[in-house]
Amino acid sequence: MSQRIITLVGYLLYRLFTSLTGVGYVALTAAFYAVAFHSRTPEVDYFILVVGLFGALITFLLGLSFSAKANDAQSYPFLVRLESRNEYLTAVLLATLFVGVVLQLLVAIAALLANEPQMTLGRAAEIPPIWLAMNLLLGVLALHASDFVAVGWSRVGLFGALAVMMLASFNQSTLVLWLAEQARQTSTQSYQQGSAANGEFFQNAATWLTENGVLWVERLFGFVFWPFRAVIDGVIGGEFNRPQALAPAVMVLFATILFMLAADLLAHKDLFLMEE
Amino acid sequence: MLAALRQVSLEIPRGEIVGILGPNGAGKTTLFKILAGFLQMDEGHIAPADGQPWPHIGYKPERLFFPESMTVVAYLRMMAALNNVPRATSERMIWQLLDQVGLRTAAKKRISACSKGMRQRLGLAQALLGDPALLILDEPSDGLDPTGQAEIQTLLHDLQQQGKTILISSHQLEEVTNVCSQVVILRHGRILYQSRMADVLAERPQATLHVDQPLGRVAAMLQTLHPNIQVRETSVQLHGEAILMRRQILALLLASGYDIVQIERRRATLAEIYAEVVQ
Repeated sequence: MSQRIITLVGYLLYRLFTSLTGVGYVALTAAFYAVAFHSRTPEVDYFILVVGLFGALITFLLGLSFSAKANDAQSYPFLVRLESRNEYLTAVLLATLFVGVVLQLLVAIAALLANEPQMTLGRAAEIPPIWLAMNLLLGVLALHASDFVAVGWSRVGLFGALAVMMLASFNQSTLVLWLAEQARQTSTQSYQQGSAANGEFFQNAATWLTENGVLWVERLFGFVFWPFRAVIDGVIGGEFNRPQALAPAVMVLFATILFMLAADLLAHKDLFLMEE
Repeated sequence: MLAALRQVSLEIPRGEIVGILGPNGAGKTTLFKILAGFLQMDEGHIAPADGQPWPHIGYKPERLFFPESMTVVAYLRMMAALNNVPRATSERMIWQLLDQVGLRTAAKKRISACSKGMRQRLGLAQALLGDPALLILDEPSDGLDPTGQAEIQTLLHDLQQQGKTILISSHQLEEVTNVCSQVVILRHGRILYQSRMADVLAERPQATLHVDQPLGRVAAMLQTLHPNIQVRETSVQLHGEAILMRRQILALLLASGYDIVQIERRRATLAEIYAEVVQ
């Protein structure tokens, strides 16, 4: 199995770097360095976050590119040879992570050599788990966004849910105030219709939402984005507290769950690969 | 359920070459993709006749797409690696295969520089790599010249001798007749006809009686005898059951003053049967 996966990774890398897309990624990396680092000496937290963000975004784009290449009709003779389609999915993810990390390291090394941010060993040790976890999560998300893995409305469901969570998470107080107002109106209507029990229930709900709503909306919708906030807070604060230190592990957990979901979708879908 | 295929039940006999025929859109490629594991079918069943699954399948799609900048031999090396063929044996296997499909001289060529015929041969070579027990070949000789087609037919016969089960689809009915031991005709996703090739060719015998002068006088009378009697200007064609009436017809013709100049017997061709089934 490992030989097949390595062969597929090699094939995907070959496809990328013998195409204009591959050149595009190298150019994008150079452009990013020029914009973000060429003219300034970065602080350590800026360096960690900006290179981390670049790595995650370029990994997402690479994931889309590699998935598109895997979804090409050239893959039919490969897929018939594999014991499981998940070998190909793994190869796509590994190729994505490999190129993502290489491009990220290119930017990082260039920034370190040219701009010499003051980096202690302790701060340097923060970098690998943060960058790798973010890259992994974004790489797996890219799989779900691609035709190679998506089935029916699966990506609309996943990314729609993420969008709803993000909106709710960033507009907690607006959402809670709106929900509390709705509960209050329903309560008034219930009292007017003579249903005291319902009126009291909705009145209590409105009170509870006003007092505790923000916290619960944060817990309900914000948990998905908590690892990102925790990492940013930890990096900017200069040190990670215990919950924040778990954030990369939570990202890896999310990535694992999403990868298993992607594997299940791919294993059971009808493959209509792109014939150009 | 896949719209292209409806309730198809097909048992594939081991060690045989099965020709899948049908007009465009009949569901041949869909059938192959189901067998190769790319598509799933909700209704119907396609399986080896002896119930033992094929350990490894070789697949040549109808439309071939390759990494164009790769060389022929590099592509086959990659395929060998996907088959877990050890490097030591893969080289020997690849060069043997290149000889077998007639691509040795093009081994170092970039695939983008290969002709359509060479690409067909490469498609076939990659399907053969790893010694698959079942070969699924969608239009194996499409784009090949007559010599190339003959070579592919010989190769398919050799592979059958080695015990491989082969499924091919082709619009070239002569090739199917020469190569296949079984034939399946699909239309609108359904199997309309399935038979051994020997039985196909034994079906629908024809006899033609040629006479020395136009049949004008007895033509109407002959046509009323059986619907499978076709009267031409100086010949009478008998199909199927009508052949059993040949003595009666001969007697009638002789009694009417005709001389029989030739009696011709032949089997219906696959093309005729195909046309009949598909129409």
